[in-house]
Amino acid sequence: MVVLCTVLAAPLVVVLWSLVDPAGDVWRQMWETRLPGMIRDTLTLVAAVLTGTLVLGTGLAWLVTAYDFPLRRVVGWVLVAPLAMPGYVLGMVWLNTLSDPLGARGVRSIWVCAAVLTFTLYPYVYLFARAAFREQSGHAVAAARSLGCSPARAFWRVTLPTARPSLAAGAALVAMEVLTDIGTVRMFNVSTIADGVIRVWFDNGDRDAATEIAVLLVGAAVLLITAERLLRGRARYASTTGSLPTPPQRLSPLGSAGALLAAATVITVAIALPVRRLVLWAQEAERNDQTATVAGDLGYHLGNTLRIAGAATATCIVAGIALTMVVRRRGRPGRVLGRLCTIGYAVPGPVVAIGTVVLLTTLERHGLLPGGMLTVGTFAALIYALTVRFVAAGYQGTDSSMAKIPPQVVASARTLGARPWRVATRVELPLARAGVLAAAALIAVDTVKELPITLLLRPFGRDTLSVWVWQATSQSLWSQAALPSLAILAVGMVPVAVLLYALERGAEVVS
Amino acid sequence: MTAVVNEAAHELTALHRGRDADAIAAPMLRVEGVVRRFAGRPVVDGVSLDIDAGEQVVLVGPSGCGKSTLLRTIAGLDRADEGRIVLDGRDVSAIPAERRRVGLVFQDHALFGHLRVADNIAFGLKDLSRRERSARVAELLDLVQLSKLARRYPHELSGGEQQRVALARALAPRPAVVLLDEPFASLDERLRDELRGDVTAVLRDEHATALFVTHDRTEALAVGDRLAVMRDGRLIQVDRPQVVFDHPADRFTADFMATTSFLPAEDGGVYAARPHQLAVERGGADRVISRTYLGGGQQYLVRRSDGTEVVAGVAPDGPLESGDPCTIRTVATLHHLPPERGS
Repeated sequence: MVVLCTVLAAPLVVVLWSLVDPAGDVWRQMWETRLPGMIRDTLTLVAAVLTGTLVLGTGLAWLVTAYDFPLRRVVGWVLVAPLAMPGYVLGMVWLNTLSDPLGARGVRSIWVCAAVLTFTLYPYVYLFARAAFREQSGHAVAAARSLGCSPARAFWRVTLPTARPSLAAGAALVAMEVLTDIGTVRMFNVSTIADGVIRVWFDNGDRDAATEIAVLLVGAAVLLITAERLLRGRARYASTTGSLPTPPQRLSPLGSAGALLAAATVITVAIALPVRRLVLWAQEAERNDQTATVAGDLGYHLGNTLRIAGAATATCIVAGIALTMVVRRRGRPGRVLGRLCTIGYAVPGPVVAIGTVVLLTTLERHGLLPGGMLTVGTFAALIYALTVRFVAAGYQGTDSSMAKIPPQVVASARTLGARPWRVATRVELPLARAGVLAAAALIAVDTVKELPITLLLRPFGRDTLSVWVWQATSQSLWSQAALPSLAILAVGMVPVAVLLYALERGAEVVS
Repeated sequence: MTAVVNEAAHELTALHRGRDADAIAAPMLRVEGVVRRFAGRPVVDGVSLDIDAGEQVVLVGPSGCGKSTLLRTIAGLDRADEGRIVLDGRDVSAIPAERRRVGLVFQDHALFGHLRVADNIAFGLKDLSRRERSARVAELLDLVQLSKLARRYPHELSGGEQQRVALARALAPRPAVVLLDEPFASLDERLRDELRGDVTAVLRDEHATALFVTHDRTEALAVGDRLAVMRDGRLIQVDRPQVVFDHPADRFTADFMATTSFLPAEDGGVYAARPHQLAVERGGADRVISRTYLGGGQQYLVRRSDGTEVVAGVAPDGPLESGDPCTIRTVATLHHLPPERGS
């Protein structure tokens, strides 16, 4: 347990450690030059995307839970699809589409960037909000109605406040993704802190300075989590046992048309138009015979993406299950420890990447790594960093679905003579499988899109689809980025489908 | 014998009706021929019911008999396919829930988890000034004896306390009628008995007109001024609890209200016998099948010579064992039920 925790928390400790010995001159120089602008851009972007995703995600979730219209179920599923769309791909498409009306300079604005991120990240809020609306007691709304609230007023005064903890969780995930993003912001010339870390690391080659800026990101993440906890506050769900949710209200033909139009617009902006554009570009690349990079062809990149995403997902799930098992048998101190070693979810990708690099190089310099196994630049080191970043999803997915198993069930298994291991493998895990599956799907879709960690730590000759897109877009070679973008989208759709399946089977979304 | 019993029953009913006739005001709630269909099947099938101001009526019936749907229809959460709902002289059939002046109390309390107790109670008081509102909240907190918990959140309360908050919240805007849907079902038995008395008292203090829904027959007998028995979407009998208990309208109601044995009558109908009205005597053509100890006494399941089974609660010859030969004798005037269609 302690070993697992140490291993998972180490890269972050390393980053924080750099605070102990701050390089004063670096800080001073940063403050005088780029840092204030970076902080301002980061805050503006986070605020804008949070507003956008909350409005869009909550609104759409309300539409598909409170109202009934033709194709409602299908619409409910399709609206999750943008989860597979990386921000840097959507950004690339809209950058081009809008550069005619807005001009080459006008399009590179923080607001267009925020809009692009909103359309790729709203599914997080949507999923949380939908789950919250679905499980809410219809009786509370009925009571509000009988106390004089119109349906709309009941939504604002009861449904929305009751869903607040879930909305906060979804919003926290969105904010974390915005803090972590490096591909999209670079495209729109928005210099956020994460972008600064990458620039200083690559362009200036100043690793110490990059590490120090990374601390700012940790600070922002901690602030975010605190804000989320505060938002949850003392107010919690009242007991809602045995009550049914309000049956959805059937919309008039006109209303149905409006609902479908709204959903279709979102899907057009987030998926349909981009795919059409990407296909056109891919055909252009095909004609120009640019369907491969110096490293290899589509199959080569695809293979690397699948290997890395597969291995990272598997490791995260195994580590997550192991953590859950140990924590659940240790009671309260275990729970605290569990939180500590899954703090990685609150830490942006670039920080994890830098922490891992610093940690591993330091260890290697002192000859503490057996046989160069985890040397920076190896497959194992990359998977290690991805696990640190995403293990929390595995842990919380398993833990939350196991928490729903009635204690009597476990007690029955124990009294029937099953040892803890047997209880875990024969009773707890099978009962929690929908939750584990949902967690695995979320991790998979995230690792397929993932950029900063993969970019910094990928082994030589292991370029992934996302790295290909990054390299092509950073040189504005749009048509060459189209093919890998389509591939990422196609690969990402598989875990999204799995996620939907798991959610239908009773899994919960967790953060 | 039957004639005498029926006459008595009618007399009691007439006495009760007399009260209605004397009342000058129209009923506070009038349900008129309400029909509600789901997928073509009537769940509420032509229900009519009048409730007077200040009266407490219990709607009782087995699960799935349509009582909750009827309640939702009255509250305006569901629309009737046919019929009318008249509240305080006003036809509210087409009026949405929020403008009907109906209070609702649910089994799961349905408190607003994000609001403190006082704010939950104040929720429906939006038309009052700030001072009037806090006065009304204080009054209700006092009424349900929760003044000390006003600043708490719902999840920090016990089940019984939550239930009282839900009641106070529903009563606060002085609704025309309070509807209570299985209000005590989520509480444990002892608390339920205690709270039942409290709630009835609070409703009386507020002069509230109330309609309870329950599937618990003991509760139904204990709570209301009148009892309405519902089955398959129809009201079978509406009367004072004692009348319904002693003179049920049909075999279903008789059996639903308490354990009932049916003895054949000369006219093809039956006599409904409760265990305390049947004695089991030693020797004869009948046979004891089993004996159950019920704390207060014994109950015997007896197979009669004609093959029917009855439950008897009186044993003048001392305890009998299963297998003993015996005879069933009636020790009270039995309630007669005429032949039923289709039975």
